[in-house]
Amino acid sequence: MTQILREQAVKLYSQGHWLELFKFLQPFAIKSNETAWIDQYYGAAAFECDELNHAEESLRRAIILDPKQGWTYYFLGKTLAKKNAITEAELMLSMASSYLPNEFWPSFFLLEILLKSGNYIAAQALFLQCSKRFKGNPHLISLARREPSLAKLIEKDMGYAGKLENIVELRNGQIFITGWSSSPSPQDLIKVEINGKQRTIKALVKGIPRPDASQTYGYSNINLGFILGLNRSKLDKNSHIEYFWQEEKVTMNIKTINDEPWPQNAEFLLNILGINTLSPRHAIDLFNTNIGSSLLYLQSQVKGKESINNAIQASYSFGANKPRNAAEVSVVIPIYGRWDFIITQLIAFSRDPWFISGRVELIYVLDDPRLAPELLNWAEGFGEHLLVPFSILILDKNYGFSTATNIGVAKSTANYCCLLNSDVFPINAEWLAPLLSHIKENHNAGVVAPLLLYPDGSVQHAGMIYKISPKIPDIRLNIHPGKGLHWTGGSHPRTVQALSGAAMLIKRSNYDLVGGLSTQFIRGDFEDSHLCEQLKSLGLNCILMPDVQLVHAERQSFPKNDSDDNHVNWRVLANAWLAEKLLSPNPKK
Amino acid sequence: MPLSITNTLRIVIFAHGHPRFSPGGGEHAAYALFKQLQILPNTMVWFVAACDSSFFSVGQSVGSINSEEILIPKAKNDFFYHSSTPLDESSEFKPWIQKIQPDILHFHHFAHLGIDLILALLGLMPNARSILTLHEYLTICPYQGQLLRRDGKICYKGPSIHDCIQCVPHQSTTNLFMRSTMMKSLIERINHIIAPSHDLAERIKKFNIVTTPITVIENALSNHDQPQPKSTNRDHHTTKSRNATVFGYFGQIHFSKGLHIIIKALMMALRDNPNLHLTIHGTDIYQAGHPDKNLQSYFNYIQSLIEPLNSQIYFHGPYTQDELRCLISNVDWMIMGSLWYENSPVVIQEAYLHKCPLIVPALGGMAEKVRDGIDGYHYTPRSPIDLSSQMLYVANNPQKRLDLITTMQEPINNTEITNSHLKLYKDIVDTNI
Repeated sequence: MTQILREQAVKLYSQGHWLELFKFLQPFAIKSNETAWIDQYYGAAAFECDELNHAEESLRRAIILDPKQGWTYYFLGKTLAKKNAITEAELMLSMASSYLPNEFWPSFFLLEILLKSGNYIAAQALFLQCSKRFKGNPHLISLARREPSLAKLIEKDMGYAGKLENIVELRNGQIFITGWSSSPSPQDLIKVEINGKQRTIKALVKGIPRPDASQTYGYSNINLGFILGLNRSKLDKNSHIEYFWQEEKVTMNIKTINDEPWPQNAEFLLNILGINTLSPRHAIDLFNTNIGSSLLYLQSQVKGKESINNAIQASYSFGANKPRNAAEVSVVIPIYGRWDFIITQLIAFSRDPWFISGRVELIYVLDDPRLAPELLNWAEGFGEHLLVPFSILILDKNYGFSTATNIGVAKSTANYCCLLNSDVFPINAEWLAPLLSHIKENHNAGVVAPLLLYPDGSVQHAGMIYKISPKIPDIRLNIHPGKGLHWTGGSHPRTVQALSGAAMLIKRSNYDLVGGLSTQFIRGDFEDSHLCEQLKSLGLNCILMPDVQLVHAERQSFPKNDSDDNHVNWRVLANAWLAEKLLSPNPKK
Repeated sequence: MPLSITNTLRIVIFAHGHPRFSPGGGEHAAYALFKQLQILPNTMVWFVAACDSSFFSVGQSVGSINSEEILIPKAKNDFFYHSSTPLDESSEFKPWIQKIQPDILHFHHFAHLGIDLILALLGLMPNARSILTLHEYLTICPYQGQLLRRDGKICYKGPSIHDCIQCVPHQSTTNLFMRSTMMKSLIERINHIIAPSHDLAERIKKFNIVTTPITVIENALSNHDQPQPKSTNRDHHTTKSRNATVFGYFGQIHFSKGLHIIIKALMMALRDNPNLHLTIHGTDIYQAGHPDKNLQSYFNYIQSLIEPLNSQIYFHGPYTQDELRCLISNVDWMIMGSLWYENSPVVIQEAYLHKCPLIVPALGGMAEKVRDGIDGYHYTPRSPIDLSSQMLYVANNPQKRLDLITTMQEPINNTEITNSHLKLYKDIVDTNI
């Protein structure tokens, strides 16, 4: 009887008919007849049928009755692993693997468990044994590909550790492939086929620090990141393209740079290239690759002025019920990220007779349409009654500082325009009048700007200079000398190299003459100095008036998650490089 | 001005809360003034109070208790006081106040009402004159408006970005600057400021650097419509027969009120004289299990101090205005322990009304309102040692209490206070300043 029972069970077991085996042995297993093999077979079947509690109970009993059965340990190990009892599962699988040294699966699952529990050293040791014992086993190779901490042990035979992270394509056919690899020539690990034809891939940047990858996978070298590039020609623009990473077909989504305004596109590209950790020392090398030309390409897609009117989704005016004289000066303030600064601004402006009397035309340009409902609610409920007439232009999307400012200026009517950031606040009631009288009286004054202070009274901006840092060769950056120190420069107006766009007054005709703020930068860094340079080329000066002081809460208007310093730094570097291109004798437009 | 048309002065009093829901000193003062003005001829007066949004149903922009008492939702933001009552078509408030056409907008406090609402109202009603009554130092001090630093020290030097950021480290220097800009605008735009104490008036002038005229007028007191009979002299006091001296604390249980100083002083004094008692009045029902952890831990601290002195300290708990006369008549001395300047604490007037001399710290509004040796005695602020000496002195010299009762000042008179307000209203309407 027992013999027949056992034969039938072995048959079902070897054929992998687990459910049948489970049902077949169930009446016997429940009785606990102290027969080890019944518990072993029943436990294995229960595991395969996902009856984990039955499986664990039977297999434990089987081990007590017959502790030398490797497969019992194997199935109990797998059962425990599935129940997430990793430590005990590891113990059981290592028993299984030592009883069954020539069987692949016990060792393989032990290896998986070791990796899962983060025990990389033991995993690597076992992997080395396995790779000798089961050389060429495809499961082992596949595991090694997935687990870079193993691959580096035998990467010459089995490939390199690494990860393909992003593929991004520009409309002009330029493709960037980013990721990290332990290979010194990652371009050899990837194969790209266009219409079945293999294309050459160039390594644009190698050795980008990737402490995250090196820490996770146990490498001492952190310079693992790469950017590869290739360009599909115009002919094969719509052709079929396939990517292979270490011989395996890549299934990830290919990102494309779409129809967002240029600053977003540029930031998207910089972000996806993953250069945050790269030292600024390499800036010029980086921009001299296809990365730079791609930025110039994206920049060249900036739309012309004719689309500016389409950008204004709606415009509203507030507090304008009183009859007004023609404004003498227009103040244009773009809003991005945070709108509530305007409460303080308007309350502060309401102390200024110029603003109340309508001598100032105040235009807010909302360059962040998400904020429109809240902003308009406040403007209708409170702003309307604050004595200061103002208007709000709502743009249909985020265009960036320059375009938003240019739109505001285009819509303004006064002969002078004052560019102001939303996080700049007057200290004293009257601040615009002295700036205006200076620019009116001095015909060679192209731009007039106040001293900008931090809230603690120290200097934020007292004019800018251009400087090449020895740390970042060949790139001129805008420096604010004396930033953070107290102003000791007296009160006389002075000529400076350039002025900040956070607060500057310009004659409207001059502004138009130079075409306003350049829209060819990635938001908010070099537009102002570029404008100053253009005005200077007309023989005009940049004048700082230190006795007019405002507070600038610099960068407070950027939402917190945008202020990742390295990201900002690379944006600044890209802008600095673009500035060089724009100011060079033969600027690429 | 509109006054000349009907000769009736139309006044809207704004308060940061309605005493019915939020029985604080400022709320009571505003409401008492409203009630006093209501009975005067040639005035029409309305009361607008901010209250919790839970009072309002969905779609309800304002509420009302009766046709003169209007409720508006509290301002959302404590740091910038951004109002929740827009002056647009979405709220019934704008048509209501436009219909009222007030001559006077009198704001008691700006907290909960909203600075943007006050400034917008001034714009909406260009013909109305505006008055702001200050209740503490919130225009100067962004922390708790008490010029009491987070580390417990008095802010003698006054506000500065570098000092203030230490008290409100979760804010930014930009927020501090923006707040002070808004305060400056508020104070400049208001036609007239009322300070209930000279101490407050001087500090506002010094630290807010205002040119707006400031007049010192005491807060009106609630439940004081009828002058109390003077015969409340308590020579027959029962405690005298027990030869014990009873000190009374009347006020909220809050660190800044310094009850712990008083209890520690009592502990010291008891070593020399076991016949001293302290009764504590004025904690409110919310303080047990109070969601504010600091308040709760202070409350626990006070309980731990009181426990070993069970036979000497009686913890009475909350009281109503109606009970106050009876409660004060049971104590010989009223004691204050405040760690901050205060302004014009209502309990001082209550003490005068019920002829109970006071022992107060020689500090700010308390020292101003209680004259040393005439209305009561002063002690070195925050010094349990000095206070304990003072306690022993008055216990050992019972005649001093009787002497002070004869010299102490009369309580403020609501009629006079109301008349001072009315005179100011008329002055600023007539002179258009």
